[in-house]
Order: sequence, then structure tokens, then C-alpha cells
Amino acid sequence: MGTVKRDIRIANKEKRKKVFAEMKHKLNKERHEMRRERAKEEAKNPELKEKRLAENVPDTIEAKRVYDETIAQEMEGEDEFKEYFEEGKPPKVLITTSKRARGQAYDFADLLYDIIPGSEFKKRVGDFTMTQIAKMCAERDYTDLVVINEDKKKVNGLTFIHLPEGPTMYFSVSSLKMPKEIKGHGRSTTHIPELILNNFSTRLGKTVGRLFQSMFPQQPEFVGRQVVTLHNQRDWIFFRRHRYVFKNEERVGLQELGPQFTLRLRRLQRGIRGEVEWEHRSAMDKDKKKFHL
Amino acid sequence: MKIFLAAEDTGAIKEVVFDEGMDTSVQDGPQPLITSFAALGKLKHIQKLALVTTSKGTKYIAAARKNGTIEVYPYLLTEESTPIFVYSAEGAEKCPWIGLTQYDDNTVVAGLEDGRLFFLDVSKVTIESDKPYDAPTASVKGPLACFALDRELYPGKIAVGGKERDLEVFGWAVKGDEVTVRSEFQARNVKSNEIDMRVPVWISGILFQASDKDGFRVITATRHGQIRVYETWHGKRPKWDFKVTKDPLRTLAPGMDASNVVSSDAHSSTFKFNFADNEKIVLKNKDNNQNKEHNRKSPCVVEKFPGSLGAVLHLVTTDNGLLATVGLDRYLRIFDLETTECTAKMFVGTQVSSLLFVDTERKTAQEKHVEETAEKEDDELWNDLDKVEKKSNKRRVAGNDEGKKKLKSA
Repeated sequence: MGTVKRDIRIANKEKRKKVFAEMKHKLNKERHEMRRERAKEEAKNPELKEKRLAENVPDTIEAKRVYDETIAQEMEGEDEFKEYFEEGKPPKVLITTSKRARGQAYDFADLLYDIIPGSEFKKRVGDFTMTQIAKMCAERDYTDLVVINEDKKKVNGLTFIHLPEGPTMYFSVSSLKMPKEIKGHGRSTTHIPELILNNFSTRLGKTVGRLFQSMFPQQPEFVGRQVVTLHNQRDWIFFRRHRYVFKNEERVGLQELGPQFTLRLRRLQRGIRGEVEWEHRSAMDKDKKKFHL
Repeated sequence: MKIFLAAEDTGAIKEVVFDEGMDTSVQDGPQPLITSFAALGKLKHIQKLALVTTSKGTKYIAAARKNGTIEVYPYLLTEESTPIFVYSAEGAEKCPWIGLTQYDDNTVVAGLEDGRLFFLDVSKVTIESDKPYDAPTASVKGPLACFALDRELYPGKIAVGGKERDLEVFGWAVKGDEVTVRSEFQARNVKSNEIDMRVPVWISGILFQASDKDGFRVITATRHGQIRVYETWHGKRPKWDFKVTKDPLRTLAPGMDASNVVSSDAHSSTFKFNFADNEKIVLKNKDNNQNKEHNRKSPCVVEKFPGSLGAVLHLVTTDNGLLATVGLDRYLRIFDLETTECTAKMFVGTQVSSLLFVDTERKTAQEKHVEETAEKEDDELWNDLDKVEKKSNKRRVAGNDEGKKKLKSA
């Protein structure tokens, strides 16, 4: 967008606003006209468009990312998700909440129960610690335990414990938007969704991606046309759920099913809440171009 | 410099050859040479590594694997390397190894969590022998979390400790196939706390230190974040008991001198702890960049070794002032013990449970400079030679031409 020079020295505010709006409108009009003409020229000669796009690569923080040697390297050896990826063990997930949870936690649990196929919800009763619950779940052949953390009636965290040998991941939850708050949202079906994992590229990112992947059955039901997306951008993981429809051979329509929320990895621990493998520190946010996932 | 690592994710021994100043996160910088050997998978990963040197001077690498075996590999590993000896401890599949260390020229001591100690004679072991080797075994009260030996300071002594198993020092002797173990010091727990609650015991690291009196001086690190100093002539309770951190301590290694130890916790901190009381230390003032002398009153954490993102599972200090750390963040880091500066940082691809620092030779800046200048001089010399050759060719051609001209004129 063109910038408007601030050389309007009109004392009357209403008049000044009007003049300013006229100037801005004129600039917009010029810009649109320029774009229309350029589009016409580029339609005649597609090489021009290619040249323009090649020259005008925008500078983004992602493009300026600090070199991370772990991205280029392949994953070595085995990890705790071997049973799911190599032996095809189906996931069995238990969802529960933090102690004495109220309000939104149960609505969110309902949503997670809907999102993760074949999951079960158990209300947190008794005075069991998370380690004890994880042990009990492992004995009952669960593969994952999800604990929703609630504070002041708001969901603010999610803990994923892969069973029986870990790892444990704690994510903070922000920008939670329930489906009813999303305009034009659809209703989900019980079909197994497809999963899209974007930009989990570092060694740590691969572990996080594999955890999410291991919670969904390996064969999605394409009839349902439902997609769960976990998009990582600058270490923020955006959760979205859509239904798609092929309008014709080129166009695809999307309908959001919700919920929307954003996750941020705070801690990765070995085993069931064991030694820390990685922990977010506030000093890590100092370098805006260094990403960990 | 050379380090062997026990890679957890692949079950391999990794050899890392590197120089100080290397950093794999610098894209165009010099990179270490990393090679993998004997990868048997995560289920059989190596828990402890030890270097064994026999009386004949032959070097071996001993590896205690998760499946309850101890394997001895030749020092010069190749891709086809197979263990020259495998010892399987009975019922050790479900019991982790707590330590593996060489005691004398031929003996390697290995310990299991359940309290069994194996004294393997490397000179007697060959894979070709038909007769199964029965290692002399001693059994002490478990569960153990660590043990320590020091051949030079306290020959024939072994200190053990673990969860609800307070420090105990044994005297041991091997006679033929039998080991006799005799308790020489059993520590007492510290007094109950201010609300009369018993203080729990969980020793995770033991270190012998030299003493000028008749008895032992032993330092322990605990999973309750304490560092304790025992002097057996002082009493059965620790002489000093310091709460260092709220996180469990995982490792313990000697520092630059007797008043220093290096330890790390289950979070991501690695630090230097100083025992000296009322010691004068010099710290740099950040504002005016001037040194100021402080009088430190009590033993405390002096400095931290920065950089680690995950828990450090094993650390080793060397006589020439280096500290090597490995752990869950898949990096091998080398620090200068005195300045706590990270001098090398290498991504090794897998989590590492144990390391073996075999070549610790440090090149000083002067030596490096001498090497670099020598290399430069060599390069210059070779370049000059090329030029001379080229020049001489030209001359010959010119000479030939002149000769031809002379011939023509004649």
C-alpha cells in the first residue's frame, strides 16, 4: 500500500479527515489501476509474472531463520512411538482433566473426545497423581493420556503422556475458540479424520509431530472428508478442523468444524514426568529468528 | 580430541573426533567426524562405557548393555567390529547397570542396581574359549544407584549408595573366583528436620577425595538436591550437608581442585560447587567491567555451565581442565572448567547415556597459530612451485623461439 504524506495542514478536523480520505482513495484507485494493467500485461506474457515473482520475494522471519543443524539430519534409531509406526498398534486414548476442574474444561474435553477417534473420557476423581493415573492407564493398555489443565474456569494447558514409556509433553493453550463461536461452522461426524502436520522439521519438532500422529488411527476414513490440521509456525502450533468438498477439478471448498486453539510446547520430559528433555525458557524468545520445532 | 559415546536411540558406540572451537550450528564452520559402530537397537542400548587398558598396554572399550550383557570391543573400531568378549549377567535384563569402571590393569568392575558387583578379568576373556567365564561376583545390600572406586587414593575400597541406601564403603579382595567384601564405613542419615520429619536418602553420585588423615573423605550427590561431604574420622553423619537445588542431582565429578565439584541436575543445569569457606573470589562488575574481590561466606554454587537444553546424563572432567557433558538434548558439549566457557558444541543425533573421553589433548592458541602458519607456509611454497614451473615452461618456449631465430639468422 502506498504511504500518504502527512502534509495536510488544515485546522478543521472534519475537513482534514475528508481531504485525507480523498487522497487515500485516489492512491488506492491508482494502485488498483496499476494492478489491473499489470495483470493484463502478465496475462499476455506469463514470463513477466514469473520474473516479477522471482524478484519480489518478501522478507519473512521464517526465511531469516537461524540455521539449525537438526533439520537436515534424518532421525536416527528408534523412539517411544515405534509400536505405532512400525508395529501398527492402534491408539487408545484416555482424556481427563486437572483436579477439581470446572466450566470450560469439560466442554473442551467433549471436543477432544470428538476429535480423537476412539478416545475415552474419565472424570478426575480421587486423589491420584498424574504419574499414578499414567501407570494405571498403561496397565489397561492405553497408549496415550491427555490431561486438560484448567485455571480460573479457563483451559490453559494440555499434557500428553505417551504410554507406557513416555515421553510427556506439556503445552500451553491459548486463543481457544469453541465451534459455536465460529461463524458458519459445520457439524463433525464420527469418521476418522485425515491429519495434516505442517513444519515439524527439527529433531524436537519431529518428536512433537510423531506424538500427535500416534494419537490418530493410521487409516483415515476419506468418506468423512474431515481434516485435522496442526500447523507449526514460529513454534506456535495452530489447531484447526475442516470438512472439504471438491467443487470441480480445480476448486475445493472448506467448512470449518472447530474448535480453534493454539498450542505452545513448554516442556518435554522423558518417561512419565521424568528428566527434562527440553524446556521453554523466556530467554529463548529473545532471538526472534531462532525456532525450536 | 576424541570421545566415545553410548547412543541410546540406536544402541551404538559413536566415535566423535573434533577440535576445540567446533560448533555444528555454524553452517560453514568445521564439522566433527562422527562414526557409528555396533548398533544393536534401542532395546540393547549401552548404559555404561569404560576404557580398559591391560597390563600389556592393549586398549579395549567395555560396554554394559541394557539386555544385561557386558561387551568388550577393540579400541580401534571399524564397521565390521564385533565384541571380542560378551559376558551375560544372570537375570540382568530387567536390572539397569549402575556403573562400569576399570580398577587395575586387568579388572573391570560392573555393578547392577540389585546390589551385585562383577569383577571381570579382561586378560582371561576371549570369545573363542569354549568354557563359559564365571566372573567373581560380590553381592551387597541393594538397591544401588551408583558406586565409586579410586585405585590411587583408596586401593581395594568401593563406596556404594542408592535409594534409601545410605553411603557404605567396603573393602574388597579377589582370591581366585571369589570376592570377599567387608564393610568399613556405614553412614548415618542426617538429623530429622525442623518439624521432626526424617530426611529421605537417595544417593545418585559418589566421589572419593584425598585425605591426610586415617579414613575416607567422600562426597555424595543426592536426588533430593543435596551435596554432602563425609569424613569418616569426623563421624558417621556428613560433615557438611548443602541443599544445592530443588531438582534431583544426577551426576558428580571432580572439579579443578579439591574444593570444587561439578554436578548436574535432572532439569538442565550443570554447575560448579565450591566447598571452601570464607574464600576470596574475584568477580567482574558488569557495569564498569572492573574486577572486585568478594568474600564468600558459605559454600555455594559458584558458576553455571550454560547452554544445555535438557538433562545432562553423564559428565566427565579431565586433568587438563575440560568438562564434557552429554544428555537428553542430543548435544555433546565441551567446557573450559575454569572459565565455564563452552569451547565445542556438537549435535550427535541421539540421546547419550554415557561418554568416554579418550583423547583429551588440548591445543593452545599458540600451538594452533603455529600449526596454521606452518600450513599457510606450506601452501605458499606449493603455490610458488607451481608458478616457477609455469614460468620455466614459458622460458623454455621463449628460449626455443630465440634459438630458432638464431638458427634462422645463421
